[in-house]
Amino acid sequence: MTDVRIKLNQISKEYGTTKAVKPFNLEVKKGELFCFLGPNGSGKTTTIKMMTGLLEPTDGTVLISGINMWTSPLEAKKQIAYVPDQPKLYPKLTGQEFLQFTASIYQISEQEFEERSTQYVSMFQLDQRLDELIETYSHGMKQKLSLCAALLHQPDVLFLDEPTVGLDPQGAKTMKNLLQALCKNGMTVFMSTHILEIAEQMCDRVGIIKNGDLLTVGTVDDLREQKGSADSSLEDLFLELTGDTEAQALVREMGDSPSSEVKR
Amino acid sequence: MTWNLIRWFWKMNRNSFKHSSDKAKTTLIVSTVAIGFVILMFCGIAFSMASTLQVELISDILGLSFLSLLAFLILFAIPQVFTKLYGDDDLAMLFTMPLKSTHVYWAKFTQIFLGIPGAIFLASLALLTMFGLGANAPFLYYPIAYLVALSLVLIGLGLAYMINLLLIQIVPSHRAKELMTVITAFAGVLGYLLFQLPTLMGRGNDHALQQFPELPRWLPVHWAGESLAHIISRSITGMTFLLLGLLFITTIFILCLSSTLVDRGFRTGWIQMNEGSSKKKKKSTAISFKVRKPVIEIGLKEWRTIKRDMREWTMLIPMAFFMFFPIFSIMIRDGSYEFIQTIPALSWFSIQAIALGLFSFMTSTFTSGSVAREGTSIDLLRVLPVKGWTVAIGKLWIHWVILFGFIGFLQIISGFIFGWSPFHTIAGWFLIGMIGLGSSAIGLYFGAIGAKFNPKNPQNRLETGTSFILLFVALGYVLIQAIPFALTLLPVNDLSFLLEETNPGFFIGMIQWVIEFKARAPILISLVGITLCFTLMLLIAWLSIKFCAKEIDRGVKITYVKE
Repeated sequence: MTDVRIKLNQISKEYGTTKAVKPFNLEVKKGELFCFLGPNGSGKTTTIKMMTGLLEPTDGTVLISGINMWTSPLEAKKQIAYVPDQPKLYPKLTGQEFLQFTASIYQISEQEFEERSTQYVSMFQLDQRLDELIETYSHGMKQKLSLCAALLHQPDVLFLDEPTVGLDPQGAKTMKNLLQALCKNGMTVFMSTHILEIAEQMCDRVGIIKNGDLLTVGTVDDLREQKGSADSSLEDLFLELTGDTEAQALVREMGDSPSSEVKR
Repeated sequence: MTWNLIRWFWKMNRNSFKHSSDKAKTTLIVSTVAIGFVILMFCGIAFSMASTLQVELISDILGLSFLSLLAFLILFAIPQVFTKLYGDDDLAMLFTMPLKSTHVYWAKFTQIFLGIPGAIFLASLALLTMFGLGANAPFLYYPIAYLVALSLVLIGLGLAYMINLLLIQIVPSHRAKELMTVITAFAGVLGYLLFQLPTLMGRGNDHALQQFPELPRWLPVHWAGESLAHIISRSITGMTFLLLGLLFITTIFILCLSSTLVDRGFRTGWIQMNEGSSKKKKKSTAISFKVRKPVIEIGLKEWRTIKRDMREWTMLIPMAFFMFFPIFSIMIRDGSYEFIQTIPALSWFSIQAIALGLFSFMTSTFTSGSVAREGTSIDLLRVLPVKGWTVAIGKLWIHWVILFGFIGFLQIISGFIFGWSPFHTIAGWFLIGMIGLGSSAIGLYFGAIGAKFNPKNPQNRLETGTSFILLFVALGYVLIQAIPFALTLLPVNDLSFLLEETNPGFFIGMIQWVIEFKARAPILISLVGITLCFTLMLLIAWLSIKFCAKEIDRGVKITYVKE
């Protein structure tokens, strides 16, 4: 059994002449929480979609626990779960029915379903709304339900695209704690986020992508070392790597400006 | 204020036409020209009819024409009014402005009037003019006829408004968003009943034998027809003015009534439509959870979606209409029902033939919508570890079972009405059901290659081109199946009287050939027929599912219609 849960070999995606994701290699290990960072339109979601079997890479391979996603999709998909940034669930099912649908597709035993659904549903405080149609749920509730469904079959790899968008502070906190606990138990989490604070606090390693180019991969400390600025926050490092010169200057200027301080 | 709003609406419509795609503009222009030609053709008919018509029939023909106008108007205006009253995006903004509901209502009323009702009004002006010229009517006829047409259009529009204002009050809020589709169906039924009104009212009296059925005297369309007939025949009396007066007073009354209902119905209805809180809890299913096979679970997921959205059921309305309208027409016509009951074999075989065509067409259409029904959730299935084959079968079985139950229901009702034996009723049901499995599978495949999703019109789930191809393929399949179907089901003993027909047309000739052929070895030929049906169905279903599964594995592309 390999310790590498996600292995990307020269994976790339092109749309006509546009290179959405340029070829790169990446390995994410068992129990690792990996954060994928990048500005809007940098290729984060495209990469995740290629890893989850939603988009076929133009070139390169995706291996999940050693199984090729595009030659053995069913076996590979049994190892993963995916929570998109905008969960598109079945609006005319109740929360409970959606969980049951997912459980039946993964052929989870009744006992496992009972235990896990109760655990996650109460953790995200969805128990009171589980018998309502999903169409009545808020974005945050759909996000929570999608996460509960994703965890039912205890996947080896969990892909999360902007998981904290729409979550209330308590939900976000619960999710952070849960993800850390899951990783401790050996689950691999691959997460894209805009919230650098989360990435800095939670992730074992981060990867920064811009215009489809994977600029760097490493721990936050590695990045600081690379840039030679031990006191820099991840935000500074991120802006330095991804922002253009003018944007960086503007951000710095705003940060230094007295007008940006809160007037009391 | 109302005038200001109307001006803005006009500007918006103009801009939307200016900035629409060339394709949309061309479609609009071509449709207008085509409709123009149709109106021109009807103008010619109106002219020649009026020039040869007996004076005493003018009132009847005008009354019936006005009834048709009203029926068309209600048919088109009810759904359109509903969209304008409760569905338009600008209402949220308008209701936050310091405007009276009545102002918004009248602006919307005018906006609708300038659409299809306006076009119907213009068409009626052209037709009335040609009718007047043909009948050599006096000059006074023309302004009065135009006023009468305007009155009737306003009555139709006022009625459409009132029906909408009423419906939104009685429909539960969580169903309000599905109301549009129901209203369309309701308008269809209402339109049909209006067309049938003369037959219904004329039943059992001498008028049924006349060339044109006489309209009830209390109908405004009768007043309109009668008064114009007086003017055309130059026999204007006090009655003429009384009828015209009654018509105009009715128009004003309906408009005032609908306007006064606005404050109560318009804003509250819109709120109900847009709040639409569906906090109603479903019965908890936690205890009944069982791990099912994915193919069953996918089917159940489809079933839950279908049963909870009444828009899904509207796909079956045409089928119910086409099945029931001929039966309804037979039942309301004197003598027809009694005649058809004397030969159950004839009614049975005829209904089976109609049902085969309709069922195959409807199953293919109904099932084709199942792929695009996934809408934006399509990615959900793609990340799950299920084969395209499983998804295809999961979708196919539930759609087929629903329609199989539906056709069974229709067969049993027809069986009772026409006095069929239980064996015949069940035999027809099963054979049609079996053939329908093939057309369902064909629909599924076309649904996968031409999926289209429009959140505002969820029952329209196929690309236009694909839906036409599906129509022809499904029709071809039915035509091929019709031969073994007839070999299996035709009751040769009961229909032997058809052999006596010495001058048969193509259809009867075919039936005569099948009767003669089957009479030689009825059981053997029935068995051969059923085997052929079954083999053909299996082959077509297998091929369609296989190709559909491939499409699903490859990743179905759904065209999303922009809102």
